[in-house]
Amino acid sequence: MEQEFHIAERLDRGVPVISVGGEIDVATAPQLRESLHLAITPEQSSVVVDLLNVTFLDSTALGVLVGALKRCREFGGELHVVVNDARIVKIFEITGLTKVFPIVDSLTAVGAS
Amino acid sequence: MTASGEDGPAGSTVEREAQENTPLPPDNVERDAMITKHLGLAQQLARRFLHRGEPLDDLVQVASVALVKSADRFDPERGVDFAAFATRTIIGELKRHFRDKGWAVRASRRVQELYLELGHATSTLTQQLGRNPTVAELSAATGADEEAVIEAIEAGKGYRAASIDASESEDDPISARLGHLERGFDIAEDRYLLDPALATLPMRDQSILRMRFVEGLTQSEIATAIGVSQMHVSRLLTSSLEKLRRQMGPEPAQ
Amino acid sequence: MTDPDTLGVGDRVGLVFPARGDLVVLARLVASVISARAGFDIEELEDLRLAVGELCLLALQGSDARHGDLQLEFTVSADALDISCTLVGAAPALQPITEDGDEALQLSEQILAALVDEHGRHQDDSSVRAWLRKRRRGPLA
Repeated sequence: MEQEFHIAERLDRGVPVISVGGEIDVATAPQLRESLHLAITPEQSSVVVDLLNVTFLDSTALGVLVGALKRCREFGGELHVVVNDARIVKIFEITGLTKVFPIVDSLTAVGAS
Repeated sequence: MTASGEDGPAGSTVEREAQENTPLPPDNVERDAMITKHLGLAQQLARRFLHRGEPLDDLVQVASVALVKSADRFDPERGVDFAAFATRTIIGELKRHFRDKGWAVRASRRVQELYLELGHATSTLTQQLGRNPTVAELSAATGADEEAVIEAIEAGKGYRAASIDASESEDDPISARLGHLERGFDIAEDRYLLDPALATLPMRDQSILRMRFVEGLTQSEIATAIGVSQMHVSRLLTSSLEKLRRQMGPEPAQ
Repeated sequence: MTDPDTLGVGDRVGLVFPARGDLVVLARLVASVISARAGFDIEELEDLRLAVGELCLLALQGSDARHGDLQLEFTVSADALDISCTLVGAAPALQPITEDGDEALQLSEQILAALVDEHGRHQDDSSVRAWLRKRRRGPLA
């Protein structure tokens, strides 16, 4: 019934694009944290997190994203979030995180294909 | 359940017994009567597998064929109750039906069709009712049962369609998000910060932002005014805001 | 007499499962069906799914309590759905297990405040309880 959680990473013109699918909740968020932690380095301080195939997101997921964002900024980079599902955007809105994250609704908008 | 032993896979038990039984001649009146008498049982067993998404007719057909096979193989002298014997055979055949690869393809196609139907029904009902529909209303509109509708929502296929179709409204995610920044225009400090940042943007971005936030045009009105699609306006606004945000510098910690 | 396929006033559903993060999905699944039957629309259903998950997180307090259970209770009343989640049989966590634990708890509160009408959390030496109330806007489906 639930979509299988999966994370895929690729480099797009030198920028890591981390694509996530399925539900990101207390059970799966730690895997995302690990992936982001490894992907964000002083040399690679900006990343794109593609949430286009995410079906559910809760506070632990947001916590992971905020933690990753801080890490990016510490290294002088930025964390871009790609999402176009109204329900997922809503969660960012009600926590005020739309003001914190650069959120775009397609991969082309961040220059990633 | 019967004297003939343990519940192994139905196939093996039936095959073992088939070898030992004397098959009855096909036009045997007793055999026909036994089949007729147990058609109801076959139907009931078929219904137990309804929740897997196959049409009832197909399931009843599989169950009926299995019933006939049971009648052909049955030997009353073994002291086994026919109903119990037939039940095992029928359930075995029904399970085998679902293991068939063809089913997986049909099921997946059926599920995709349901998602499409739900998407359309959601937007239609939303417009008709002036509010979001309930699961019961979606179930009535699509003929899918409540569980299927809820599963679709769990799989992320419910509301999403409505949000795309409702892009004309001011409640779409991009508009709502921009609304937060709009409120920022009202706060004196932000406006002070905003104007110099705004002036650094290319003219096209300034125009779009001005149309949206100062003149208060909706995305569709802007789209008509500048001759592009509303989706395009949405994208332009997003990127203009991104540029603006970058000009304004990082947000203070929340 | 309640119609079949709806939940009516006074109907209560309980759910108990081991207090583990990977089982919180059970609460969401049950909340979906109950919300649908209690007459909420599909957006409210999604809100309640998310909200009940957050209740579980508040009760877990960022700890993967190995010995406890999460007890959920869903109660339908004339104008609302009440959901509570209680962590029982385990000492309430003193330390969140994740670095972003504190922030996540803050986010839980924010999310609940936005999605439901009332919510709260109570903790004593032996248990933690988080609860929410969501008012029904329309009539019972």
